[in-house]
Amino acid sequence: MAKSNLLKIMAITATITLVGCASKTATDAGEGATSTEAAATATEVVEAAAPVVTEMASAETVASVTEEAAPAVEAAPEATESFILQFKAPEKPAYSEPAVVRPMVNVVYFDFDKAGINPEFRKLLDQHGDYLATTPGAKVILAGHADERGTREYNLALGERRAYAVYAYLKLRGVAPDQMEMVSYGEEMPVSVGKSEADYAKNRRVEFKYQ
Amino acid sequence: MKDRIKIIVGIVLGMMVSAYVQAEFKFIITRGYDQPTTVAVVPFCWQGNQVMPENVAHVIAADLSRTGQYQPLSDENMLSQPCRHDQVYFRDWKLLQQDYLIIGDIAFEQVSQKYQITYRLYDVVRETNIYAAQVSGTRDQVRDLAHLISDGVYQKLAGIRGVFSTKIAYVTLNTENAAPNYRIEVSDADGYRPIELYRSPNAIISLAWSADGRKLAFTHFDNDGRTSIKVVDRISKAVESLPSFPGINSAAAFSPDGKNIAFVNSKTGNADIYLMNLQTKAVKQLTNHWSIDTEPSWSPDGKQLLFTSERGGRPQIYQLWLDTGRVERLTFEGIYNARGHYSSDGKYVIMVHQSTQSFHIAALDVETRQLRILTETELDESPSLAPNGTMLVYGTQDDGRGVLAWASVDGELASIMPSETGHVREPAWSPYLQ
Repeated sequence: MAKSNLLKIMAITATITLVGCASKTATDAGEGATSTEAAATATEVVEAAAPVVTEMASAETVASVTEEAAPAVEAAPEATESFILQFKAPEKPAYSEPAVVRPMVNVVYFDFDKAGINPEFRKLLDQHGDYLATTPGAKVILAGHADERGTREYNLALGERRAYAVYAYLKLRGVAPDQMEMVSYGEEMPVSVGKSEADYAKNRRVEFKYQ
Repeated sequence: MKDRIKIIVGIVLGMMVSAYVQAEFKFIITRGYDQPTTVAVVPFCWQGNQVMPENVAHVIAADLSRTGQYQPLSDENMLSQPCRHDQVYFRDWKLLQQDYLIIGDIAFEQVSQKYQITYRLYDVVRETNIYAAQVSGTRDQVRDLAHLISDGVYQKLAGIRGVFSTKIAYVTLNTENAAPNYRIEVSDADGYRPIELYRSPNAIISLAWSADGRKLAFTHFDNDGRTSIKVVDRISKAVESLPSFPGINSAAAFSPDGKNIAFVNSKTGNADIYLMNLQTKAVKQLTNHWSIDTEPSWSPDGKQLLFTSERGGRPQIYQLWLDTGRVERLTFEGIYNARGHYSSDGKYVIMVHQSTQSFHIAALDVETRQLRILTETELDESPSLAPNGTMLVYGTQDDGRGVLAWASVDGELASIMPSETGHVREPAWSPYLQ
C-alpha cells in the first residue's frame, strides 16, 4: 500500500517536472507519464525525468518541484567518468534547513554489466546521503540487482558491486558506514519480467530499503 | 468376482496415474541423430494378479529414446510380443527393420516379496542373444529396476556406462500463488518421482552435489537478501547451515574427496574464492583480486579450480592451481564465458557462453582449446554434466518460463521439458549413486 502511494507521488512529481520543462521531453515521456499502469511504468517515468532535472537545475519549475523532495538543491556535479572512486564529495549546501527530508525515490539504475553511478542519479544519491548524514539513527539496506542475462552467481556479485558503488558514494557524502548494509539479490528479484532492453534496464538497480 | 473388480479398478487407476505423470514430464526432442539405432522393447510378461506399478518396457523405451541415439518401436507395430527366448522369431523384427530387440519376464517371489525381472537383448541382424541378466527389487523399486535394465542395455550397446539410474536436483519457483515458493527437488534423471528436499519463500540458487551423491549444497537468501550456504542430506533431508561471513556467501562446490568446499565470499568488499574445511570449518582465501571472482568448480583430481573472473575486463573462465597459486585464463572466444565445469575425464570444460547476443552452452576442448556451441536456445545457464559425460542438463526459458533442457556433448541431440506451472531452474546432475 505504502509503496503504491509512493509510486503515485513519484509519477505526479515526474509529470510536473516534465510539464515544466522543455515540451519535447514532455512529449517523449508523455506516454509513460499518463499511463496508469503500475510500478514499472512509474519507475520508467522517473528514469526519464531524472536527466532533465540534472540538466536544467537552474530552471525555476524544476527547483520548486525538487524542493518538495529535498531542500538541498544545487547544481549536479559535472558528469565525469562513472567510476565511483574518482568522485569527489560534492560540497555540502551553504545554508542549513531544520530537517532533511528522506527522498521519495528509492532506486537508482545501472548500465549493462556496469556498476558505475550514472551522473543522472547523483542528485538523488546526494539527497539520500544528506538525509542519512543528518539522521544518524536512520539505517538503510542497499540492495543490488542485475538483469537476467548471464549466470546467476556472476549477477549476484555484480548486484553487490552496484550496492557497493552506492555505499562508497554515500560514504563520501558523509554517511557513517554502520548506517548502511549492502546485500545483493543478483537476478532473483526482477521488477520487470519482460525480455526487452527496457525491461532489463529496470532490473539493473540498487534499492534503498530503510529499516 | 470381487477380486476381478479390484483388478479392473486398479488398472483404470494405474492408467490415470501414468497419463497424468506423462503429461508432467514430456520431453520434446528438438534436434536428434540422423540415423538412430532401432530397438524394439517388447512389453515384459507378468503372470501375477496384482497390477504392476510401472510398465517396465515403456520406462526402458523412454530411457533409450531420450538419448536420441535409439528409436524404440511402438507396441502396436509389433508383429509378435515374445517374452521368452524360445518365442523369438527374428524374421518378425527384420521385417520391421529393427536393429535390436529386448524382451523380459517378471516374476514375484513370495518369500522375499520381491519382483524379479529377467531380460534379454538380441542383435536382430546377427540373430544372436548378446546379453541376458536378472534384476530384483521391491514393489517401490520397480522403476529403479527398469532404469537398471536401461543402464545394462546401454552399456552393452554404446559401450559406456548409462546414467538412467542417476538423479537430477533442481529448484522450482511456483508463481501461481501470491507468495513465491522456492523448492529444491530431486527426481530421477527422467524427471519422474520428484522428492522435495527443502522449501523457502526466498530465492535458492546454485545447487551442488557432493561427490558421493549424498548431499547437496545450495545458496539461500534470508528475508533481507543476505546469502548463506546450506547443505541438505538427500536421504534424511537434514539441513546444516555453514558459517557465514559479511557479504556474499554462495557458489559452493564440494571437493572430489568431500573434505572441502570452495565458495565465494565478499567480506573484503569484492567477490573472491575461498576454501572451507567441512570438518574444522577453517577458511582460507584462494583468490584476491579487485575484480569479481566467482563460480569455483573442481577439476576431477581436485588439484585445480575453474572460476569465472572479469579481471580481463569481461567475465571469462580461469584456472587456479591449488598447489602453486598459478592462474591461467582458459577462454578467449566470445564476450562472456562463465560457470565452467570439467567433464569427469577432465578432457573438456562446459560453460555458459555468449558470442554475440544470446547465451548458449558451449564445450571447450582442453587439449586443442577449440570451443563448440552445443545449444540453440537462448538465455541458457547452469549447465551440469551427466557423470558419463555424454549429456548435459541446463536451465533455459520457454515462453517466459524457466525450464530444463538437455543437450548431448557431441552436439547432435537437443531436448526440452516444457513446464506446465512455474519455473524449473538450476539443474544439477548427480554423480553415480550407490
